[in-house]
Amino acid sequence: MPENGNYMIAAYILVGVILSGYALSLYLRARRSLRP
Amino acid sequence: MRMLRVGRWITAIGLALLAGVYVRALAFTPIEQSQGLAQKIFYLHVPAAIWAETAMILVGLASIVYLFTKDPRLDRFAASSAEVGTVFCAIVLTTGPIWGKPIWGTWWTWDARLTFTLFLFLLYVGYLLLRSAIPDPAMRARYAAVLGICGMCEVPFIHLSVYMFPTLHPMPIVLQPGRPKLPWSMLSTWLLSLGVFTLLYVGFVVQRYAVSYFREQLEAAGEVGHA
Amino acid sequence: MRSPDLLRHAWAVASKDLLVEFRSRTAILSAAVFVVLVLVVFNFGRDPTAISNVDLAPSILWVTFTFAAILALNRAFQLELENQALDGLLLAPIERSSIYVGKLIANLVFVATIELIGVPLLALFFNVPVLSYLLPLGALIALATIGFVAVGTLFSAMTVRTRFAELLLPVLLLPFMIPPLSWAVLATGRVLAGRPLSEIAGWLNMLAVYDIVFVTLAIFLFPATVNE
Repeated sequence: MPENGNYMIAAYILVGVILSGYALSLYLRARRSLRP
Repeated sequence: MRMLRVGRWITAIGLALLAGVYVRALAFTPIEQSQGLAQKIFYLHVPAAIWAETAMILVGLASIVYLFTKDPRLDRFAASSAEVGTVFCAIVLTTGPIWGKPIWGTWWTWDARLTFTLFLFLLYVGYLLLRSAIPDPAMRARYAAVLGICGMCEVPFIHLSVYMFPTLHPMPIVLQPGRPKLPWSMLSTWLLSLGVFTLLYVGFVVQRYAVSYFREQLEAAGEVGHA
Repeated sequence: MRSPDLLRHAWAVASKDLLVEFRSRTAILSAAVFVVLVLVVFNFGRDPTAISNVDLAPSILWVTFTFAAILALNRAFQLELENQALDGLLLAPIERSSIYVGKLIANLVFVATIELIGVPLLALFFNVPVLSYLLPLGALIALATIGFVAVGTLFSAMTVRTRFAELLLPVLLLPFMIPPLSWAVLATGRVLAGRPLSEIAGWLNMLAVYDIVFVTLAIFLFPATVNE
């Protein structure tokens, strides 16, 4: 079996960062447009 | 306001369940023999791809109805769906090469499916750029709708040309007629992940919709320039 | 409105544009010089001992046409913005779609002129035998050009009224140009290699379907880009 666990870990971290980063950006944008 | 709260809750549940998908995929799903651990990227890659494409179709459908009814809610939905689609498309475009490097031995190849995803991403970026370049809301909505409809109509063409080129990409193994080739232990993880991405799409779109709504209220009140 | 009227009005719009173009001749001359320059620049970017001319010719041809067409399309509605000419055109008692068809015809004539200059120059500079394949090559160029000029005319009506019009048009248009371009490049390669027509029939069909879909779509969508 090939040894490529690092690639998997990188992909999982990246997806987590992208999704939670976008969620955070939405949260901040909503807050800013509510209290400008 | 209530809408924003609902969107935040859906997103929060989605993110919590995403952690669940990680645990299930890493600890409770068997390792594929020929590809090793890298195969597990598939549980995130394919659901993101499905929603990246579906979001474009939804943008197009909302745009068609918008041109007939001129309902601003549809325009807000189209803008939200396009933005969320861009994020999912970015996931597909980054996880794809990370899987391709150990399995194909190269980060990027001009394979038909990779090229298709890149086109989709460029379509989304163009759509968002066009929106940001027009200050007048009514004109922005009409122009974006025209581009959204053209984008939706282009998707089948890119799909067709995908089948005219040789491909390295694995053929779809989940959504094929007849019995799925995937064992249940893997399929259930994949289905869970698809459900989580669906939740995240809905949660993101609802929040983004609320943000557009607040911004429009502010623009109408003349407190800020357009954003 | 009856379709003879639509075509008559479209022709009126097109001939107006072409007359303006013919009187000044600046745009077409600049575009022609541009095509020559792009072809010359390509000459420096290749190693004639590594890749034979015939293998590279399709890419050179279509990249040149792509850039030239984008230049031409950017200019299509620019004329109408000066002195509010577009408002005058919209006040005329004609269907909005006929304005689009007229603009499409004018742009096609413009781009076809550039291509008529480009193909012989390609043959000359890169020693490509085009004479024996003139008919299939012409059909191929015509089908591909109609497709992307149709989409481009629709988009340029929108981008011309935004900021950064010259930049936004290629950004929006290129994702729509690349599918017909990629079919055209592959088919041109086959034609220039002297393969039978049946080998490129699939691509010609795809190009024809693309043309029909996007011309129809643009005729229906164009009114939405000018309604105030």
